[in-house]
Amino acid sequence: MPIEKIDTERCNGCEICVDGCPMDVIGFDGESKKAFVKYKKDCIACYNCEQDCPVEAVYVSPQRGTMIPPAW
Amino acid sequence: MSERRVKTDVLVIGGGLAGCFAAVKAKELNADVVLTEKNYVGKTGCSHYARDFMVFKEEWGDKFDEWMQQFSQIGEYIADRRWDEIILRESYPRFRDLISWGEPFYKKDGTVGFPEPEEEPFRLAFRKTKYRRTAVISKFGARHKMLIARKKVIDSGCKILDRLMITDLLEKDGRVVGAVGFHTRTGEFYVVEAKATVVSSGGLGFRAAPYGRQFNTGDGVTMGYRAGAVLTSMEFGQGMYVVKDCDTVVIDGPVAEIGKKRDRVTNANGEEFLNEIPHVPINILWPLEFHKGRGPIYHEPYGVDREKYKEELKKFDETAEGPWITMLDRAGLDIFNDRFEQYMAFSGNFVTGGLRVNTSCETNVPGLYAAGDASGTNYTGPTYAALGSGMAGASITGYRAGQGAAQFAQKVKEFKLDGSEVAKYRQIVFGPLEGKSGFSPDHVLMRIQQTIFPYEIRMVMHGKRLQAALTMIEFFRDHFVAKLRASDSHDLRKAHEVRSMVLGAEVMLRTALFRTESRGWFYREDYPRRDDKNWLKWIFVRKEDEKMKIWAEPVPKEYQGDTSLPYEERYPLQYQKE
Repeated sequence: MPIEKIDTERCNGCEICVDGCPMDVIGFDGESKKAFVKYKKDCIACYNCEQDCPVEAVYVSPQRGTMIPPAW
Repeated sequence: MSERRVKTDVLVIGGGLAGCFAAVKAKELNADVVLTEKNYVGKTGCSHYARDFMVFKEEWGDKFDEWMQQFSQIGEYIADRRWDEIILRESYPRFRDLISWGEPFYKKDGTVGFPEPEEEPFRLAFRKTKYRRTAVISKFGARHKMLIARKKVIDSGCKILDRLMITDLLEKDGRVVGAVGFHTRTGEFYVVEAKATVVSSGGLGFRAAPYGRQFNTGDGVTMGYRAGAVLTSMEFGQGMYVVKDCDTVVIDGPVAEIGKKRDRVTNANGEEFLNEIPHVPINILWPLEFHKGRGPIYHEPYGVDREKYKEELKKFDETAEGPWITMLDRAGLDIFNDRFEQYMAFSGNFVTGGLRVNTSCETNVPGLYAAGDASGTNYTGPTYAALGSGMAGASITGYRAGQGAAQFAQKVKEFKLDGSEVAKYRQIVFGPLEGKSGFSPDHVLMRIQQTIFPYEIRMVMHGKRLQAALTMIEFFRDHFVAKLRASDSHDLRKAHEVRSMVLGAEVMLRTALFRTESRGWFYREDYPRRDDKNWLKWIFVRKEDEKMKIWAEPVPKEYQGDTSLPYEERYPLQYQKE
C-alpha cells in the first residue's frame, strides 16, 4: 500500500494533507495536533500529501498498490 | 443521524474543472450556487491531475476545416460534429477565462505566466503525418491549478460543501429538485433542495490503476440513470499507459512531445508492433498484442535527448504533473537507460459517454444538467479526439451547463418537499450502516475489478466473455449490493461507490453486447471490422419499468464522412492485417 508513514516528529499539524487527500485516507488527531494515516488501504498513490507537505513528513511508496491483472 | 437542509437555486455535484466552471457561470447569472464534492474542491477530479488544455485559434494558424476533418476521422464518423465545432470555437474563450481566474500557462519562451489575449502560448506540435496534423495543446503552469479554481468559485460567492457524498437525486413531479447525501466524516444527512442541478462528478472509472482517476466511480452518471435520464455511448472506454511495477502513468506522451521520434515499444519477440501505425489513437493495439501472447510489452528509451527530456519531466513535476522522476527513481527504474514493462490498463468510460445532453448541456429530465466526463456529448466518438480536449471539454460543458441551469432556475416554479419523500431517501443513504452482517464495499470492489479489468473482457471483447462478465455483475447486483454493510461514514462512501459501479458495469456490458461491430478503441473479436452499414449509430440506455432499455439511433448523414472511400483509407487505425 503506497502511503507508508507520516513522521509525527516532523508533522507541524498544518492539515494540508488532511484536506488534500482525495480518498480521505489521512486523519487528524485533535489531541496531539498531528496528521496520521487512518485508512491506509484506500490510498491511491496520487502523491498529493507528499508533494504538498511543507516539512517533508510524508513518505509514499512507489510500489504498485492498484490492481492490474497480468496479461502475460 | 442529524439532518441538514440546504436550499439553493443551482446545485453543482462534483468540483473538478467542469463543476467549477458551472458554479462560476451560474453565479455570474445571479443564481445562488452550492457546489458539493465528495473529496475536496481544489484537490480532486481528473482535472487536478491533468496538464493539457487544447486551445484552437485560427489566428494562430489552426485551420477549422482540417480540425473538423481530423475529429471526424479519429472519432470514426460517429463523433458529434455540433460538439466538435463548439469545442473548437469555445476553447479559446474558456482559456482566457482561466487566465482571468489567475491560472498561469506556459508561454512560448518556456516561462510560466499569463499570456496576453493575442499572444500565442506555448503549444505542442506533434509531427505532421498524413492522418494527424498538429496538436494545439497549451499547458497549465501551476500544479495547484484547481486550488486557483477553488478560490475563483469562493470569490464569486458560491458556497462549497467538501466531503459531501451525494448519493441520489431528489425527484418531484417528474423534475429533479436537488439531491441527498451525507458528510463522509461527520455522517450527517444532507438534503440539498435546488431548482436546477448540474452533475459534473466525472466518468466511470472503476477505481482503475491509471493516475488520477481512482475516485471516478460513475456516481453522477448512475444517479442520473436512476432518475430517468438517458445515457449514451456507455459501451466505449479507454486504456491508459501505466508502468507495470510502479504506481505512475508514463510515458508515451512526453516522449512524443519532446523527442523527434517515438520511443520504441516492443513485444516479447523484440518486434516494434506500433511502427507502421500512423499517429492516430492506438491504445487498442496494446491489448491486441497481449491477446496474441506477445507480452511482456517493453518501453525502451530510444531517439530521445535524455538531458532535455529529464529537464522537461522535472518541469512538469514542479508545475502541472505528478512527481514522476521522484517516483521512478524511488522504484529503481532508470527510464533513460533501461527498458521497463509497460501496461495498458482499462480505465473506464470517460470523455465521450455519459448523460445524454443537448448543446445547452440539458438532459431529458427537467432540472438536470450534466458537464465534464459525466456528460455524454459524443464529441470524440470511440477514441480520444485530441490531447487537452478533456480539459477544454470540461470547461466548455461546465460553462454551458452552469448557464443552462441558472436560466432554468430563474423561470421555474417553487416546490415543496414533504417529510415522507425525504424519509425514503434517508433509508437509501444509510441502509448499509444498519445491521451487523453483510458484504463489505472492499470485497465488492475487488470482485468488480477482477471481473472488468482483465484485458480479454472489456478491451479485446467477445460476446461470450461479455455475457460471462455480465452474469457475474448481475450476481453482484442482486446479492452483494442488496446486502452491503458499511462500518462507518468513510466506509459508507465506498458502499455507495460500489453500488454505482455495479450499475455502471451493467450498463457498460449490456451496451457493449449491443454494438455488434468494432470501432475505434471498441474492439470485438467476434465482430472485428467496422460495420458502416449497420453501425454508424449511437447507443442509448434508459430505465424503463425498472429494466434497462437499450436502443440505437443513426448519426446524422453529414457526420458519416465519405462512405464511398475504401475501408483502409477510411480507417487508418487497423486492428491487424484485416
